[in-house]
Amino acid sequence: MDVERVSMGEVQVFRITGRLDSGTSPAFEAEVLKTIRPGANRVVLDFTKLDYVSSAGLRVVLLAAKQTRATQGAFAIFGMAKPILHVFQMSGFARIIALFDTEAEALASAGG
Amino acid sequence: MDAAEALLGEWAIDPADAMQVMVIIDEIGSNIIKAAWPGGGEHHFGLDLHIEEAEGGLHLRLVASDDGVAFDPTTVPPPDVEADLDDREPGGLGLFLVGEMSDSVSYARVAGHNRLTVTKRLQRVTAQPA
Repeated sequence: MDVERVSMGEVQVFRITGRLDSGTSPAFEAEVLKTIRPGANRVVLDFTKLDYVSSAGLRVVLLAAKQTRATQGAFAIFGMAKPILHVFQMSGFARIIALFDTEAEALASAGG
Repeated sequence: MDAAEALLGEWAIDPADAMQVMVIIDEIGSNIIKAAWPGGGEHHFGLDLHIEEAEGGLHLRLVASDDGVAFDPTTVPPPDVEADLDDREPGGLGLFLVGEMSDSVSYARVAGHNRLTVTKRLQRVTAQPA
């Protein structure tokens, strides 16, 4: 798993390549959660190159969504493949997390 | 994990099904590591993955075995997947996903070991028309 962070205006975009599972999610958690604070709380995740996500990855997604909400920020994900969207639907995350097809839509939603 | 991916590749399993199998393995393996041995120390657990030709397609059987404390994951209450973001707390999702992604999950305590058996029908990659 690799994470690349890009600043797009006030929005921080994290591009994830590989898998978010029990082995890789602790590094992902450290990378993403440490950057969320008042004034830097607009976060977009690029899942275009994500191979799969297990509950360990979903946990980080949930924590990031809650943390941005708690600081009146914004959180969105874009570009997930259908099998990953299916996991989000099963988990009930599709109804509580803003999901988009394209980066432009996600940035617009997050205020970039 | 690599051995599982190789096996799924050998059988040309559909990517969506293969992804679910990898998630199931991650959930079960990480759960054993987290919960089975509260006292620590060096322990071993086994994860056997078996795919066979069956009526109506391929059939996967995964058997996880560990000598940790007795734990029946099929009794864990599911998370509230209808909850709003503010009410949603992390946890409980892994074994729920295993149930959602498989056809059956059964537990037995056998000779001091937890044995969890998961079955799932699998599709092969569908050939793309030329």
